[in-house]
Amino acid sequence: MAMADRRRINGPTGATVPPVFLEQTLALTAPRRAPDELRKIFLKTSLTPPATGSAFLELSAPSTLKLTASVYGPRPLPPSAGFSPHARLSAELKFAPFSTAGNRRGYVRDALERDLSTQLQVALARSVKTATYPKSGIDVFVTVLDCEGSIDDYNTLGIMQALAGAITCASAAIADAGIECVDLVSAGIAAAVGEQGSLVMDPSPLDGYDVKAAALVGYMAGRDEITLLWTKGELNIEGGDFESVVDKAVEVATQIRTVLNEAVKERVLAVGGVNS
Amino acid sequence: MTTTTSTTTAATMGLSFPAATFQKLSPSSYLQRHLQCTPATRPSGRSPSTFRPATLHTNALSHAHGSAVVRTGDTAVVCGVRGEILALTSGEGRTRGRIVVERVGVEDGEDVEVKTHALVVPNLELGTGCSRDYHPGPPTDFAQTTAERLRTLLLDTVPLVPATTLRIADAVGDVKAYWVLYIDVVVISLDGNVLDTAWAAIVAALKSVRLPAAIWDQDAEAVICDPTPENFRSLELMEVGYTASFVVCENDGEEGGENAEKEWVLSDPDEFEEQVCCEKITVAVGAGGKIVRIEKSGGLSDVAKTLPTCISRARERYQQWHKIIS
Repeated sequence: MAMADRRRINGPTGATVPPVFLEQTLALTAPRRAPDELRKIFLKTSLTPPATGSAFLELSAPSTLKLTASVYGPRPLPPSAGFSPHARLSAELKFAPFSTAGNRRGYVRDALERDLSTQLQVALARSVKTATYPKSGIDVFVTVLDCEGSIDDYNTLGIMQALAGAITCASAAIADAGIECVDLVSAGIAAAVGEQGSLVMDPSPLDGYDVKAAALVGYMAGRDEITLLWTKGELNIEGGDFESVVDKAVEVATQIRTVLNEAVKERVLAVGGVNS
Repeated sequence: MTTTTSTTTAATMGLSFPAATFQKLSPSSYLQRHLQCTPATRPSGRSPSTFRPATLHTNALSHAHGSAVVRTGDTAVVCGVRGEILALTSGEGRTRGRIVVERVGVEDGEDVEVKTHALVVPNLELGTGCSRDYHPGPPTDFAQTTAERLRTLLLDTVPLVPATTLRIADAVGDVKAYWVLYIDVVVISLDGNVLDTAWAAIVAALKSVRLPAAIWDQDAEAVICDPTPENFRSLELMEVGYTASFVVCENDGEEGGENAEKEWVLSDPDEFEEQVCCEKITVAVGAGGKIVRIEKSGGLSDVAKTLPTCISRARERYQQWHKIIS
């Protein structure tokens, strides 16, 4: 237990524990989707008016992922940052204290959040025309309000779903901010499950699959470029397992891209179109 | 000067620039020119006495025991309440043979448990990209003071949560453990007056809380909860109260002559108005229109004049919140 944070209001001095139940509560049984069926995504931009650009992403029930992204910039870098001919893109991902099952999350940024922030930054940086904004900073903030399942016990799918949502949502927010991009980034996940390693698109931790391996890609569909690749589990590279899982994830990302396009288009039409 | 209205004076000046530039160059006179119009209108188009309409959405979060999303104008907050269990060291919560001292004039003397054991833990997070000025990292002074004001409201001014509803007792009635309520307010979008919105979100979230039935297991010496959703219970809350915040904008222009307003009391200020006006007033109203707290800071306005305005508007706002939340 770390020392109490004196800048926050702390709980009792004795440790508190989340409720322990009589028998393990059954996980929410999501209606089984077909392996190639994606969940519906609700994506809306401009819900944080003080920000330059923002977006909110929610997966349809029974999935519970909810997150917001806001973008500030391009704004001048502080003098201490030194000269940079390109814009510097920074990304921060934070889980709200009440976002996960099990233990309540702390306010201080932990290793997982640092790791996901870096991955988010890598996934987005390639899509922004950074050369257009010298000496500027673009800051992306993502707050995960609600996760799918627990992410404490190395539930990789839960973490992957949060990151994938963050990438798609943040890309919509960057577009909403009117920052010049070469393409939008959407993220997709595919997994090899069961003994045979059959492929599942957009697997949820609530589906209860026995996941052998999973892959997340950040994908720019317009340019056919992968900006981020994260795989987990044992994948045979020679046998073509690796390629087939990644290809499936790209397929997911391509489908999610249509949602992203719609959200951005809605905004463009709302402000009066490109020409008017 | 033949001009009678303030708007034309600005137009006849040699130098002219768009309103947005005027707002940046001279925020104070920008606000005053708006208010000097008849009828007085704020830059947002509201009249001085209008509060922003609020919307509420409860229990949207799956991992919190209770939650609420409240949006007033461009300020939006999410409040999640999670219950955790604090086990007492053996013998601490015994009621048999305990000497109870009852002081005259002190009602609900037992409710001190909420404070002594810190059973209610409110926090406010602003580092979410909700506004240009707040970055992730340690909370700013403003975030710390607002969290502290919310805590004071919750523990002293409007003691919503009685200790009785948080106690977990064994078969004999000895208190073995407590529920601790972690109340986390995450601000998603900030456009002024975060206190009122955060407080309303806390009240709504507490009302939506459903805690599992907790049983003291004698053999395991631990608290076990019943997972069946039918046995979940709501909290027994005390009388609610709501806050209303105001800023006072002083008129230091000569326009308008004798009968011009000396100052305007602006209800539910947005970020711009909060930055321009230094006089801030918060009134908390309890059930039946009782005034339970008044805070005033800065400014030199005539309190005897401004406070009654604030109080009557705060009562009005109480009714609005009451209609939305209950």
